[in-house]
Amino acid sequence: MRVPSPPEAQVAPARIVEVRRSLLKANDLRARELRQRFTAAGVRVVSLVSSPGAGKTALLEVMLTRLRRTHAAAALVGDLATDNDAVRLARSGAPVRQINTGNLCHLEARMVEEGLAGWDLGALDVLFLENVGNLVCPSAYDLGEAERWVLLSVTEGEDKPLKYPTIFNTADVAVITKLDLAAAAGCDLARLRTNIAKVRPGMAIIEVSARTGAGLERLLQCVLRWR
Amino acid sequence: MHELSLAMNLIEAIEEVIEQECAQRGGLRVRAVRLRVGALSGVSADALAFAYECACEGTGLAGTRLTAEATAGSELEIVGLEVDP
Repeated sequence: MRVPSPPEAQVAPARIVEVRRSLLKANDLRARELRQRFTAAGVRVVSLVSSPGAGKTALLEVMLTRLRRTHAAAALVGDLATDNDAVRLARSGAPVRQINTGNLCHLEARMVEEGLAGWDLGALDVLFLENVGNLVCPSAYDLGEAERWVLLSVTEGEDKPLKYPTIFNTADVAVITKLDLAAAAGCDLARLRTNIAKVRPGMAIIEVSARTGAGLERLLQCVLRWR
Repeated sequence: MHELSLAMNLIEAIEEVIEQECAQRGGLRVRAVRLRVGALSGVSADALAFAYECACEGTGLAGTRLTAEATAGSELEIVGLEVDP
C-alpha cells in the first residue's frame, strides 16, 4: 500500500544555512601550508601523475641519478601496496620514502605531510612526489607542489588527453615517455601533441626516453629553471 | 573513484557546520545538502550521492538528501544546508 505523501502546504519551507566552502578545503589548507614550507626551505617540488605503467618510476630513476651529481634530490613515492618503487629509486643513492595508501586511489596533502616527517627540507634542492598510478583521482588533490607533470607513454594511444581532460587541465607540463618505442608502437607524435593542445592550449610538452636519455636535459632544465 | 572519501569529508564538514549552528541557535535538523559539482572537478555527482547515502547510514544525517547543481568549472563546493525552519 502506498502511503500518500503529505500535501505540499503542510511542509514548512526549509531554512537555508549557507556554507559556501570547498569540499576539499581541509586538503587545500594543508597543501597551502606545505607550499609555504617548501618555499621557505627553498626546495623545488614537482609531482608526477600518470596511468599505471607510463614510466614514472623509470623516469624518476634516471632523473634522480643525474640530479644527484649536482643537487640534493629526494623522492616520496605513493602506491597502494609494496615498497618496490622506493627500493628501485633508492638505488640512485637519493633519499626515498614510500607512502602506502592502502586502498586509496591518490595521494593527499596529509599523506605528504606525514611522509616528510623528520626530513630536513632545507637540505634539499629538489623533491619529487610520485603519485599513485591513476589518471583520474589525483587531479582533485593539491599536494603543495610547485609544478605538476602529467606523464603519458607513446603506447597509450594518441587520444588519451581527450579521454582524460581533467588531469591535463590541472597539470603544468605534459611529459611524453618511452619515446624510444614510438615507432614500434606506431605512435603519431604530431597527433598526440595536437590532442594535448586541444585539451590545454599552450601546455608545455616534453618528449623523453628514460632508456636512451633523449629529452632528459630539457626535463632537468625544467626542474631547475626556477634557480 | 574517490567519491566515498569525499562523502566522508562532506559529512565531517556538515557536522562541523551543525555544531557551529547549534551553538548559536539551538537544535538543527538537516533535510538536504546542496552542492555545486563542476564538470572539471573529476567527480561524478551520482556516485557522490550514492557514496553519501551509504556513508550517512547510522549517523545523524541518515535520510538526508544530496542535491548537486552541475557547473562548468572545477569547483566542488558545499553551497549550504536545507534545514527545518
